[in-house]
Amino acid sequence: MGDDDLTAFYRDHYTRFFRFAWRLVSSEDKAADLVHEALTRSLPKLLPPGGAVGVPPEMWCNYLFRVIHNLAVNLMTRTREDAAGLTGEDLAGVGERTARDHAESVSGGVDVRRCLQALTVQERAAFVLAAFEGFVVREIAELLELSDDAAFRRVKSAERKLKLCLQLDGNVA
Amino acid sequence: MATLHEPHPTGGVRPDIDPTVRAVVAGFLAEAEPAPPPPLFERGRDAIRHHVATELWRLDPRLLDAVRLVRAPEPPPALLDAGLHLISAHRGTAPTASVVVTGRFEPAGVLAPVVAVAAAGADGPPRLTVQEPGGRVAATFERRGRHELAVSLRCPEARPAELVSVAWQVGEGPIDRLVTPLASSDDGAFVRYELHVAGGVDGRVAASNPELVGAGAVTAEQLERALATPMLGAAVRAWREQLARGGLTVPVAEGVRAALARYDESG
Repeated sequence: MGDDDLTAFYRDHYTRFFRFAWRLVSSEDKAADLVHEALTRSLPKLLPPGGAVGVPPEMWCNYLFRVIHNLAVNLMTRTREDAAGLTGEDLAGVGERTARDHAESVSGGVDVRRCLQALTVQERAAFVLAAFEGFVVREIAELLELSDDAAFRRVKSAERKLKLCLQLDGNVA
Repeated sequence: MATLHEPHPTGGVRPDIDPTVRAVVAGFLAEAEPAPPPPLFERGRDAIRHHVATELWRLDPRLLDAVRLVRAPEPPPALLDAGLHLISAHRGTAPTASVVVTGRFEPAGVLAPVVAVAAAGADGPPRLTVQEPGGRVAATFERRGRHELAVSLRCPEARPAELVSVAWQVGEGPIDRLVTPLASSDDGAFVRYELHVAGGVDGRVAASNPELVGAGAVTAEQLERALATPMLGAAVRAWREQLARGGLTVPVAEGVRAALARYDESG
């Protein structure tokens, strides 16, 4: 594997990486930065100089996902834009909304965005990987550097919070 | 009650996401998610320059010193394409833009060339660093609004009338306009220019401004003059070869790496 392979790989997967990054940081510019930065930082691992053994090509995709995730966590920590999680304040009044409110907010995208942003970036990552990227628990665990159980709990925690925030827990009138 | 997970064809366990939650979020994403911009590597030469610079810095920060280009404290400097003027922008984190100006005074032969880097952040004054190969010339930058930089060169042993080469280009380069020589000191040791930077000092604009992409800036002669250091010369030549071959991005990085390896082997 060489430069051409890596270039082709990057071009083939760029949209997927960007989409993942955007779902973590909700910013087009930041997502593009994250993807570029992830590849730049990964180069020594993907194509190590001097013929050293690098990350196997079949693992490049997962490796990039992991780097993007780690960079997103760092970015969010640094900028303090990441909410600490869904707090009581976030959920205040959730049960008081009507189904019509819910429908309107969902159709406007407002509540969904807010609910996603109320997740920690780690929860967001776990949920996105599970729900939209088709990763299994073991893969998510590897990407997020967690145990299998912790990865699974993170997915379900995100799902539970989203369900509650979006009033999809069966209590909606 | 739905099962919490189901077997995955590959043998792993796939979390069974509530289909309603998934559908609502998917609907939102489909509506809100932007189309991805082109990969940074394909946005043009500015982006590639930045990549090269970043690679150089990561390989060995001394490479930057070697060419008298000064690295910003952090993050990896928006650096260089030695001899080219507007180098690149490091998006997302300050500094957001860098400008390199080379100059030469004669006949004192005091410096050849002066290279200075002003990393202009989006907020606040530009971060300034200057290298003085001859040790006797100082250059300072001052950002004046979004599109203009003022640069002052001070050389106690030469007069501005004898300034024979200031290697920024006017009219077609990233620094597209020399607004004016503003002033010179009475003793003739001080000269001040204002530069108009196409696309603005804000690197985010510069990085995506098509006016800056592929504008080039210097001739091969100017480049060679600026590249007194074989190490960077080799790197940049490799980069240019890659460009000529149509290679982009990753091949650029590899080319730089290979060039540096050759340099190291040559002792």
